[in-house]
Amino acid sequence: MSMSSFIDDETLREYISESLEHLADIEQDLLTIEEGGAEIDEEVVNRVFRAAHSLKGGAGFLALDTIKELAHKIENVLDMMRNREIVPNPEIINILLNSFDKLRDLINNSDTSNEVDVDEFIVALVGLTTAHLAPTEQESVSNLVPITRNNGNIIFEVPEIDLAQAKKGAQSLYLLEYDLIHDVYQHGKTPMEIIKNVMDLGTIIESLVDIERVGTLDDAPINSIPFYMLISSIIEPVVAPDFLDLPEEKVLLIGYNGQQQGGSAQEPEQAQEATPTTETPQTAIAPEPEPQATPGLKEMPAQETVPPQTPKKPTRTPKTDKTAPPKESCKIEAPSSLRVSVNLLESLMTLAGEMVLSRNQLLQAISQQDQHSIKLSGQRIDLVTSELQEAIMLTRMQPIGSVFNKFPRVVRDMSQKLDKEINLVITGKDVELDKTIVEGLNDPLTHLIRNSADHGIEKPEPRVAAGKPRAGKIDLKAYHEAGQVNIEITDDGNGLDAEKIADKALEKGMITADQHKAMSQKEKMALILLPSLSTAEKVTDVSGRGVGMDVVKSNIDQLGGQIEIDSEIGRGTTIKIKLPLTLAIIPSLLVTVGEERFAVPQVNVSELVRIGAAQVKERIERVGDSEVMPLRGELIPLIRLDLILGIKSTLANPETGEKIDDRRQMIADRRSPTTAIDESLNQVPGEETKVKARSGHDRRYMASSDLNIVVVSAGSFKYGLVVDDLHDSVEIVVKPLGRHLKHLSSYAGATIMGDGRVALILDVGGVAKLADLISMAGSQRAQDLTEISEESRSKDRQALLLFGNGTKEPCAVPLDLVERVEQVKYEDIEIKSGQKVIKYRGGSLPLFALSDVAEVTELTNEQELVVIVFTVADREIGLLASQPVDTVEIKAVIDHDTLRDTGIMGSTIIKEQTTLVIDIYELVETLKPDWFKRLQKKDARRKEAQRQDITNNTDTPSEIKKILLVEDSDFFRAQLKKYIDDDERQCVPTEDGLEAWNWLQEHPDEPSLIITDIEMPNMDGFELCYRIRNDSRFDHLKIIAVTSLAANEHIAKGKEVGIDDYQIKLDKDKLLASIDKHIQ
Amino acid sequence: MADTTLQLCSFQLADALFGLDTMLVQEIIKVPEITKVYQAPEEIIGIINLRGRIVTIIDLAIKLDLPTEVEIKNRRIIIVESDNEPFGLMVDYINDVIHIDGDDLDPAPANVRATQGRFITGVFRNEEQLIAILNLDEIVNQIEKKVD
Repeated sequence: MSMSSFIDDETLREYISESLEHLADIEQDLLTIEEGGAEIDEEVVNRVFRAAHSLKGGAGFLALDTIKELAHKIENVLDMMRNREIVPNPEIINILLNSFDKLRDLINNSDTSNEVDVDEFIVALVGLTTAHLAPTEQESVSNLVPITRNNGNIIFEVPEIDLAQAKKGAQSLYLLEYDLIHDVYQHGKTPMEIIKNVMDLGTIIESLVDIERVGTLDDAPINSIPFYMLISSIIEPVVAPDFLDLPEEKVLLIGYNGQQQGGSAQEPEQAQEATPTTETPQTAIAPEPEPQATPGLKEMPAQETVPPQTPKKPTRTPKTDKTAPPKESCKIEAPSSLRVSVNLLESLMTLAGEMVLSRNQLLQAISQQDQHSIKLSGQRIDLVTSELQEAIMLTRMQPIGSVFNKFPRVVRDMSQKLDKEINLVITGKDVELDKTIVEGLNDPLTHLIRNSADHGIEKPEPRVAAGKPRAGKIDLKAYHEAGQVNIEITDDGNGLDAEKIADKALEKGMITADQHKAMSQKEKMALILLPSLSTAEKVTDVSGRGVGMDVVKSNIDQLGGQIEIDSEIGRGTTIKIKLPLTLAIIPSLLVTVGEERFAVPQVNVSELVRIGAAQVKERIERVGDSEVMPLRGELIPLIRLDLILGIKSTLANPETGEKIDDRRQMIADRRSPTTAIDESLNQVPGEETKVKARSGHDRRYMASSDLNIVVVSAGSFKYGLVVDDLHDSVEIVVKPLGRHLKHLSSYAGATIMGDGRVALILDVGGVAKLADLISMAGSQRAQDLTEISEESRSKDRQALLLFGNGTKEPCAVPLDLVERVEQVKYEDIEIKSGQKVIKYRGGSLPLFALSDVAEVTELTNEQELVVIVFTVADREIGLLASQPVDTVEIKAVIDHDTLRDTGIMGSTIIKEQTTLVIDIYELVETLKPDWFKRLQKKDARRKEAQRQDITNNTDTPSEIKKILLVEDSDFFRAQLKKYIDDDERQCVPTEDGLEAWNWLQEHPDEPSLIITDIEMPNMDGFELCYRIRNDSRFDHLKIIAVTSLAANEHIAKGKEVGIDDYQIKLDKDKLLASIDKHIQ
Repeated sequence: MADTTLQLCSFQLADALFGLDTMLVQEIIKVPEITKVYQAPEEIIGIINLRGRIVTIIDLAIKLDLPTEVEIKNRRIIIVESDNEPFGLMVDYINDVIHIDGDDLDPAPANVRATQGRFITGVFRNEEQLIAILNLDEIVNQIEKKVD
């Protein structure tokens, strides 16, 4: 007997996909319930209840009896929970979680589910129910009550407890008889719709498709397939048929004893009744005999003539159920379909319509040779295509919550197993990502979360001993940043020991001793991502058998993401994953090398640098075997794409533009100390140029010899890719490479360009690997560090704005202070009440000139004037200056004596000229002392002191307060000292954290305040601060950190280690205000 | 014996004649713009765009170690499919499609060089020439994966 005649695959599929959807959020909800304990959030319990209920309802119809049974038992527990008869505890939740897991399993394998043994779960669940019932009620769980119609037919038997629960809730019981043929299919409905409708109105207690009757009608035409449901509902009997969309005669009111109510109630076979036979409980809903039901009685037998229904024996074991598994096959892989909102679909339709329209216009325009229309249609198609692309991408977007939601369970289970207390805080569940990325994130994130819980968070006792809260915390968050999605996993566990990782890498021969010495903390940390390097000292069964982070990394790599690790011993670890929104279309920069075109994903591109041919020698340095480019204080290793990939590079002949082979040697073959790049410029390639060598055109000055560098970042390192030419940035569609090429680490895929040719997409990380960059970075840093120690450390690089004060006096001012530079005409300068001003952005900008305070030449209308805008004392002011204006980054050694004057902090040599370095604060202070409240206060204090001196005539020299200044840069140290020192304060300058710390050991009581830089050699500001904060002698000391730029992450970290305030180094006003506030 | 009739697409590489079961051949194209893939195995001459699909091109002359003098633009590419992935086999000239009786196939002679031997399922003797029948799967699968 086959049910496929009326239960089609579609119904089953619908049931499965809906069930899985219901189950998706269950864990989350159960955990919420667990957390709530006795404080039951009814809404959540209801939600879980309804999920179980829906599963049961559908399963009954589909004859998935095992599923029905299990769901039913779960439902019982939840029902008692929402009636506050069961108080959730971890043990109960455990049983529920496991049962739901089993349910999910069964649903995924629905075709074989009826053969699965779920007794273990049933017993546990029934045990739960009975344990919480009053002793008199306990039997009701196993007692079965037959549901009997007036004609004596027993439709099915239900546990007494279900009837009792309905009674408790004052709900009426109805036996519904749907005829699948007449009431369902012929009405254009699906069984699932019917079940859903019923579930909206009440609770399904039991349901059954009467297969037997169908079965016995083998040779007669089947004209009805009864589908029975026993439901409990608060609907009034009078209106029930309307709500249920059933003829009155098919809605039978059932008493709490299982007997049909109303009509001529025949006495049936005795039912075991625990409930009193007086079926008139608290309300008037159930009791009154249902008049409408009576006519139904008359008709019922007519329908049932053929099969005289034999009362069924209670068959409680679904495995042997006679309604054998109906489905031969219908295994469904859940995620193969996707839900898309109707709105989105409609916008797609609209766009498709637009597209067709535009195409028609284009075709017409082409046939009419109408250039203008062709252009217009082209633009239109361009627009529609982008919108269409965007809309289609949207259909692929899924919230990351679908992955995040499983982690509360993971963490909960692990903390139980490991005897730890862990709180997981999840934020950013709504962040959407491409479906494939979301799916691909599952494994790596699980791994990372497990790592955090297993290796990161300590057990409660050690945590308490270390002064941390008992319960560890794992923060999992997702957020958008710069067109990417970031995922951060932060734990407050014991952190990673970078040294240990590096030691292990050294031991395994993955890095050399030199590199070991030279690597930064971050680089050492990143070593953990290398294969076969896991620091898990003991392997636990929880976080996997020490499978390294390399698996995580390769997973993330495949998703086009990057991973960064930041950790501090004893305080925790943060792992940051940056992911593209989608994999299918990525913005990329096109570059060429020789004849070859490559696409570099824009996410990897940090900046583009072009070095003019003449500057190559100065800008490119050689360290060991490799070429590097200093860029804003960082050394960027350079990789020549042609060399690394083995491309024959061509050089354009400057005269003819003809391309000739570049015969430069490979870096590896090079013996001379010059770099490959200088060689390329100096070497004479081919005879042709030899002839022209003396023609006056030195190729190095031609634009074509400029060096184009794409600075890319891959994970924690940055490097420069030297290419021949840079082109546009375009959006490319990523196509996978064939199976023979997939493994090539240098490529992320291929794409088809506008001209139909194929271009390869570079994998920036892979190229670095190919170039062995990990070790390169190490050796460079070693060189870098030795260089620094060799050089006198007092020199540091400082960005300065150069300008003129007339033609003879070149001046400079720290670039950080400058807001803007504006050109002005001499005629525009007005003098209002003795003050020079110009009209500026709707107001007046006060102007000052250096000649106002210092002995320098006055500016006249003969020069091209500019105004340099600064913010001083919260006001914008302009400094009059003359062209040319330029910026330099120099190692400034400032002579503070020779040319010192008011407003001039000293002089330095820039471009072989003595240049005055301006102190803009001093300049304004001198001219406008009343702008500075601080000065006024100080003045007031001094006057007060003088007055007291006079009146008391006693000698009370105000105590001079010492401020410890920690700053490695000579320039800033001198400058800050100048700011700080006055008749009340004295600055003790030190050059780094270590020196400061040592000084503190000798003079613990002297300083009243500490001002420290953050980035310093030997010991940085964070470390210094950490030490000070862990030494009770210095509890009273306030710490102000000064940085050249206030980066948010610094500030956050600073707060953590106990820094009281952050100030910008050269913002004198604010810094002094902060000193006033914090000084003891 | 109609069952064993085989249609061969025959082609030339250097001086040798080869055949490939026509059932395996999707199409034959002229050599389009090929993008070289650096770091790839030697016999993979590059990738092309075949109506929106990226197709890996294998130069049979390199694969079978039969140096050819034919200029690249005059050569041809046979598009085949193996494990649901399209490949292009670059050959010198395309000859006729010939019908042969499967019973006429002989095993590859013992003196065929080892490198070629495993790529040949058998030989067919024509009136004047010998056609070696290629084993497509072997050719596609026996490409060394250079691990970098």
